[in-house]
Amino acid sequence: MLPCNQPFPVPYIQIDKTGSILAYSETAAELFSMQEGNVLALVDEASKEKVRKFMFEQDESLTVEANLKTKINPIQLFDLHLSWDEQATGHIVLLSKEQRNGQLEDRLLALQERLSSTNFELLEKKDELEKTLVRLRELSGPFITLSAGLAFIPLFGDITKDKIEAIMGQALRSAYEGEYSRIAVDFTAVGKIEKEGVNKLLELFKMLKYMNGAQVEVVGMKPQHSQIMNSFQRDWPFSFAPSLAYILQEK
Amino acid sequence: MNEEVREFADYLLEGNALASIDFIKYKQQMTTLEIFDQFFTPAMKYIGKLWENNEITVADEHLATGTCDFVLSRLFPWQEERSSAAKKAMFLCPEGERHYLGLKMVSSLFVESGWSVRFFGPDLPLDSALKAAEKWQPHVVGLSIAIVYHLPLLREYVQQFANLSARPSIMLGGRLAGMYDLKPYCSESTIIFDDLHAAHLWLENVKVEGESNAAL
Repeated sequence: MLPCNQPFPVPYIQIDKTGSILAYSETAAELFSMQEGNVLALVDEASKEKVRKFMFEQDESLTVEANLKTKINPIQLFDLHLSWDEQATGHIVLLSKEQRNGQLEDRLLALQERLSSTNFELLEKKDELEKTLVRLRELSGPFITLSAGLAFIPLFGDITKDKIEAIMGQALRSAYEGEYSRIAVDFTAVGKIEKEGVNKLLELFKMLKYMNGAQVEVVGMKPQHSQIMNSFQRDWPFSFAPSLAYILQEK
Repeated sequence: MNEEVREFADYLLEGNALASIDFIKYKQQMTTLEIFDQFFTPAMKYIGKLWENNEITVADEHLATGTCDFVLSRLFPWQEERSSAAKKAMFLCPEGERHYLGLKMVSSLFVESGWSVRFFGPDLPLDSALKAAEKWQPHVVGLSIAIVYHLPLLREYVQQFANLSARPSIMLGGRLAGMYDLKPYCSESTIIFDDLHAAHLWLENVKVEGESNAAL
C-alpha cells in the first residue's frame, strides 16, 4: 500500500478484487485513516453490504452512494466512482456529498421543526389566551362594598353571556357574605349589549334580589343602551338611577 | 412485495403528497395500526432497500421521508393536550438521530389511546429533553434510535431520564430495536418495542389494567 506519486485533486484509492488498498492519494489520506488497508474498513456498517455487492461482484464501472467513516466524522455520505482496469485493479474516486445533502437535510429538518413548534406555540398561546379571557371577564364586573348596606358593581366592556357568567359567581358569593339592601350596577363603561348577555344579567339581578332582598339599581345607562334594553321588552326587576353620586346623596 | 405498498412508496418518492394522502384515505376501513403496519412501515423499508440496491440516492430518501411525514401529520393526530386526568407521554430522538417516522407513528397510537402526548421529534439535545420532562412530568418517555453509533448517547439519555424525580417509564424503539439486543444500553425497567405491534399491545394492556383498577 503506497501513496500515489501524482498530486490528485480529489481523494483517490486503488484496490484489488478483495478490497485491499494498493495505493492512495494524499487527499485520500487526509480524509481517511488508511491503517486497516482495506477499503471496506472505511465503510459504515449499514453501507457495507451495498459496497460489497456493487463494487466487488461486478466488473463494469459504476457509482455507488455509501456512508463512510472519515477521520473527523463517523458517518459521512460519499459517491464512490469505480472502474476496473485490465490488471483487475480498481480505481475509486471518492466525492463527498455531505455538504449538498447536509443542506437538504437541514432544510427538511427546519421545516419539520417549524411544523411541530408552530403547533406547540399555537397550543400554548391558545391556553394562555383562554385563561386571560376568563380572567378579563372576571375583572370586568368587580363587586365593591361601599358601605354596610350598599354594594357597587361597575361593568366594563360588552355585556355578553360569557362575561356575565364569569362575574356571577363572585357577585353572588360577595352578596351572600354581606348584608346589602341596595346594589348599584354601573353601565357607564359598558360598550355593546347582547341579548343573551342581558338575559343572563337579569338572571343575576333576580338571584341577588331573592338572596337577600337587595334592591338592584342600574346607574349610568346611556341613551343607546336604554334603546336596546327597551327593544328586548322585558319586565325589569330593578330601578334606574342617573348616577352613583345620586344614590350616595340620596342615602 | 405487495403491489400496493410499491404504489404508495412511489408516491412518497415522487414527493406526491396529495396522491399519498388519497391512497391512505381509501383505507378508511382499516385501523390506524393496520395502516401503519401494512403501508407506512413496509413502504419506508422498501425505500431503504432501493437505496441498498443502488437504485435511489439519499436525497430521494429525504424527499420520501418529508412526504411521508406530511401525510402522517395530515391524517393522524400525533400530539394532543388533554385534561390533567389523562396519562402523559413525550417522544423524542437523541441528539443527532434523525430517523423519527416510527416514533411519530407510536405517538399517534398513544394519542389514539387517549393519552396526552408531546412529540419532540428528531435530534433533541439531552438538556432540553430533561428540562421538558421536568416541567411536564410525563408518565412515559419514548426514545427512538436507528444509527448504531448513537448507541452510547442512548445510554446517557436512558440513565438521565431514569434519574428524574417523577420516575417516568422509559420506552425504546426504532430500527435498531428490531435488529439488535439493546438491553445493555438500557436500564432494567426500560421497555423495548421491536415494532408497532409491541407498542400497541402495551397500550392495550395498560388500558385493560386501568379499567380493572377503576372497577375495583
